[in-house]
Amino acid sequence: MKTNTIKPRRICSLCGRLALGLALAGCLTGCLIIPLNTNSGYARTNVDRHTNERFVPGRTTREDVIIALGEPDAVSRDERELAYRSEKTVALWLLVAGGEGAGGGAGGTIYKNNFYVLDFDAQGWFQAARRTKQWGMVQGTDPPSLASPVFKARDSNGAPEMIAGEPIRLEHSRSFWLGGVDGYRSKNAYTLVGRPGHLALTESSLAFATASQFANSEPVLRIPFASITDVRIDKHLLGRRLVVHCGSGSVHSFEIIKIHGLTPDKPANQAICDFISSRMRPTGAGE
Amino acid sequence: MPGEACDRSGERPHRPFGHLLASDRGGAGFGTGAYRMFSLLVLVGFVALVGCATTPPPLKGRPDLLAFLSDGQTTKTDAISALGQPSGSFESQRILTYRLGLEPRNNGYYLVEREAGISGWPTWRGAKFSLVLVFDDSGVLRKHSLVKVNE
Repeated sequence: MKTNTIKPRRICSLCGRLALGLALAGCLTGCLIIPLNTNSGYARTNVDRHTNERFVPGRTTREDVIIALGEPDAVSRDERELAYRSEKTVALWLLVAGGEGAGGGAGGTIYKNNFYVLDFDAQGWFQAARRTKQWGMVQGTDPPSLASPVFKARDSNGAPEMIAGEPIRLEHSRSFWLGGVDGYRSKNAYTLVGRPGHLALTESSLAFATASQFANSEPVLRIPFASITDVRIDKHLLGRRLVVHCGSGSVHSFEIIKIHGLTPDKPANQAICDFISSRMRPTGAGE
Repeated sequence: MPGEACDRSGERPHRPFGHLLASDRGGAGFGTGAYRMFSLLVLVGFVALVGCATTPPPLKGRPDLLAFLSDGQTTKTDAISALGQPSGSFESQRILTYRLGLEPRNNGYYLVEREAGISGWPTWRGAKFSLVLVFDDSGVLRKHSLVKVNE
């Protein structure tokens, strides 16, 4: 019987260790590293490198896997890939600033994430498993930002991602949705924080999926361009909000943030605003 | 005075914190007023400490939350009525999943929403268990499992 094994990616592992070693070497002076090996508390603890040994390719079903491991942490849109994540706190670091006038320091945590991805065929039979790792070094104890979608493709069958049968034309994965908020004009609008998620535009509609949604579920918000009566970008100091008014009287705001940063992604804001304007014009002109 | 008689016999009258009193030590120290003040402070401190004792938060969990689940009998509608919308749904809603926390004081389960953490991935910080419900094509529970996900 063919047994499936997750082959450790030795090169990646060596690179990861080398990078960690260099990071540690770089702060040898005045830097204290306390090695640990504990679960971070943020991720699940019921998966490890032997998890895949419980499943037999061609015999275990997707149902068997979910029954055994519980709800996955991520799923591809076509459900042919399930991902489970564990996270370890591998070390605490403390940097003591020395020199004249210095008296401060900083401290933080080094995390190691393991992603276990299980592949299934179109009938839902388990095929293979793979493991990827990601290291994160942060100040404080908050978990690191993990960028990598672990799936081979967004749809594991290789087809472009669709929403309601339409291909996505424009999208932004670091967006925040503020439902019922009119840019910066609503009461207390400056202090409101939106729901994080993924903004996507097809030829006929705008869709928003929250970050906590599974990829196999429909977006929580879908606005046909035909129903949009106005779109604009509101500015306040460094902030930008894309504001969409609908014929029904509802209003939605979106903050579109740079993928690697905290400030608004101005080109993306403008591109999305222009795209919506160009698609609503024919209807708007008729009204 | 009885007090004088006692002093003469070499015995000291027993008073709490009496060693702090000036009259008993023959020198500078607390007087009777100070003794009263000290007693008052002790009393106030005691009351303050009593005020610090908080009542425990209400129990979040229900030990019988999952008691209604019965393979071959419970329907999908029953499950959603009792537990609300699932946090995950797979294979065209044939498999539903819920996240549960555990209240150790009464071994009761409570529902936890799926939410993404700072990392962009969902966190299991508040949830300890994953409830998996598998239904047949007619929407009747075929099997279920309660998986311990987080220590």
